[in-house]
Amino acid sequence: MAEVSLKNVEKRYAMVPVLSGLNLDIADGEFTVLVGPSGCGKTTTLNMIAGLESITGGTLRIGARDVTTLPPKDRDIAMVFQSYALFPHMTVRDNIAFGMKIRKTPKAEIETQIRQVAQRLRIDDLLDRLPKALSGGQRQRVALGRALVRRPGVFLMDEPLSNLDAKMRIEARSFLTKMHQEVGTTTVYVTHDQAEAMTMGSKIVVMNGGKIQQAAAPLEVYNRPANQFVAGFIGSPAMNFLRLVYDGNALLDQACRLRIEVPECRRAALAGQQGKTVTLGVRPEHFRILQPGAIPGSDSIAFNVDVVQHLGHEILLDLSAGDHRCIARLPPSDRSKLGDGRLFSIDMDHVHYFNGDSGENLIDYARQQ
Amino acid sequence: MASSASRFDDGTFVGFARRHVFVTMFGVAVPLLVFACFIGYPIVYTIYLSFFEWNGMAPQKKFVGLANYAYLLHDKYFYIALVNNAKWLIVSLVFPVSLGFLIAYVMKARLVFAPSLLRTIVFFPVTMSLIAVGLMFLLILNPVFGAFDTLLRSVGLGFLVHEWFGDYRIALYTLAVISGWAFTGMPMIFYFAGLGDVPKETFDAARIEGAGHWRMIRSVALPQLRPVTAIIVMLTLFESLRAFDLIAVLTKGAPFGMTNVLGYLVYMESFWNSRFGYGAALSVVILVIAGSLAAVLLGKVLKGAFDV
Repeated sequence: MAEVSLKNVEKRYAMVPVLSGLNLDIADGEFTVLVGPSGCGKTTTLNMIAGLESITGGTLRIGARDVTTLPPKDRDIAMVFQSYALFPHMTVRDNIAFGMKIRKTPKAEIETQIRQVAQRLRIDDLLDRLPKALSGGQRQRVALGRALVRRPGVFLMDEPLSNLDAKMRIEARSFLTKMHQEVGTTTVYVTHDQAEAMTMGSKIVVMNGGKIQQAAAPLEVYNRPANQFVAGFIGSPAMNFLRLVYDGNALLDQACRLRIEVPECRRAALAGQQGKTVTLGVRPEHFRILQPGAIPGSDSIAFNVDVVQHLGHEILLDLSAGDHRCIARLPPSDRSKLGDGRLFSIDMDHVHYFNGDSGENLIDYARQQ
Repeated sequence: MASSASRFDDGTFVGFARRHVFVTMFGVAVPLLVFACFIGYPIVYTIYLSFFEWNGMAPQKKFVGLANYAYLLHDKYFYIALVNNAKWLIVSLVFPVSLGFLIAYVMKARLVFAPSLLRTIVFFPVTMSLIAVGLMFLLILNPVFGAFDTLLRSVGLGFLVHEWFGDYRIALYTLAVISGWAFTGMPMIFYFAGLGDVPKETFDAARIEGAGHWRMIRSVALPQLRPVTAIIVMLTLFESLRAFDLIAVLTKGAPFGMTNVLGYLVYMESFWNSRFGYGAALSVVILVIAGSLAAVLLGKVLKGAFDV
């Protein structure tokens, strides 16, 4: 096992920087998930850790060693690819044994290790099959087996669940989490699926535009996003954003006569924003529907119901108020109908305030603690 | 109407053909006619001619049954040509195919500078006429003023200078290597395209496991390129059996028939010795050899190469 440390890591393609100033420390045994939209640089980062892409600036350490310029085979890593990268002409047994044969492991030991890994991954009856005769989930396990027999210091996984159907993905998610708990190897996992990131990672690294936006525990990222991008990316449905003007006491939108009182305890954080645009972030579950005839409070907004989505265990309402569009998550007992005008209150203890220009979260959670 | 359309619209060729009778007839008939005229008829006529004795001029052909084939069995020039063809095939399989693959691999793995330029240079001879290639090498390998011998002497390798076309021990190999030089671009371009279809992740996975280039070629690239190799081996086989142009330009079968191959022997027997019947019998034998080798290669050596 080993810790991974990236210090000011950069990647340039013909002088065009795609990743710059990456600083990340991954503790020994940690399950770190790199998450972000397509093109954010997460796979490039993983490939640089693997040694499949060169590092054009900064240093990378795995364990105690500086591996910045070492070839992949000397980095003490194993990788599971999105497409599994199984050798199609080799049986499952040969796929798993491939690396061991190169490393000239004795035949008896190869056989023992294959048997142990195959039993653990429940693929012991598939050893003589070719990859084309396996299902997606089975192929994924074979790829995992090939990585496991290396007994690496670090596991690298590049979207290994993205080729599975929804049901198998949930099963595989649990399987991988359980396997990590058993093996305890440091794991760097890339995904664009924020649900995977939230459920599997002990640390989430949210990336965008070649930069790390936030690296923290899943709930920390969910409850205390560093900026508007992170807030919008993590969570499904995404956080709602209302661009309003701060007048020193409340957030306003004159055009649609919207006024939301800012709680006393938050006003210090918004002190420098008077007269400026502030983006109010509200998660769908932080809307409360007010019963007809209820008196509007300082945190209530009148919305029109545009779409009603019944999901069984909950209802999602697409709402609009002037130019503002929101999604609210409500209990299944709610009876709102398409076209209704309803009054909603916002749970102001859980809203976020973002700088209207930079998108930075205006609440300094570190100082609050 | 709708019901009849849906009855035939089962997504198969038969379903399509039943709905579009004219298009199907026309689409099948035209290529069939072209094939019958330009390929089928010459083959059938060659087989027919192989049972006759004919000098190409006489109005009557004399039926001789299997006499041409019986003669062929005892013709030493036929056996020399057959062995030469086998040597030519081996050189062609080893030299241009291996070299073409290696060039494609180093280009794909970006182990060389300016891979596009290299690709263009290597492929260029494929576009040249073999007659032009032959004439060019006639000058390059000329024993008096040839550039190649001059180069060998200037770098102190004068002891390697040979009568490249005159020495019966090496003349055939000289021809085969020249043919390979002209042909290398073809396997190179096939393998280059084929390597593009091999998933990059399989190479990455092998690299992480510690595989070097040799291991990647042997265990990752070549096994996944079996369909491409099958096509290239077939092409090389047919090219080798058709070898004619270079021999006609460079040696005309000399010295002592030692550079004769079956294709050139057919030409010699038919047009120089006026034995069209015997030439036709030789052609039929080439056809049988080519068909048999192709069947063996596809059925045994490259079995399952096209199974995806």
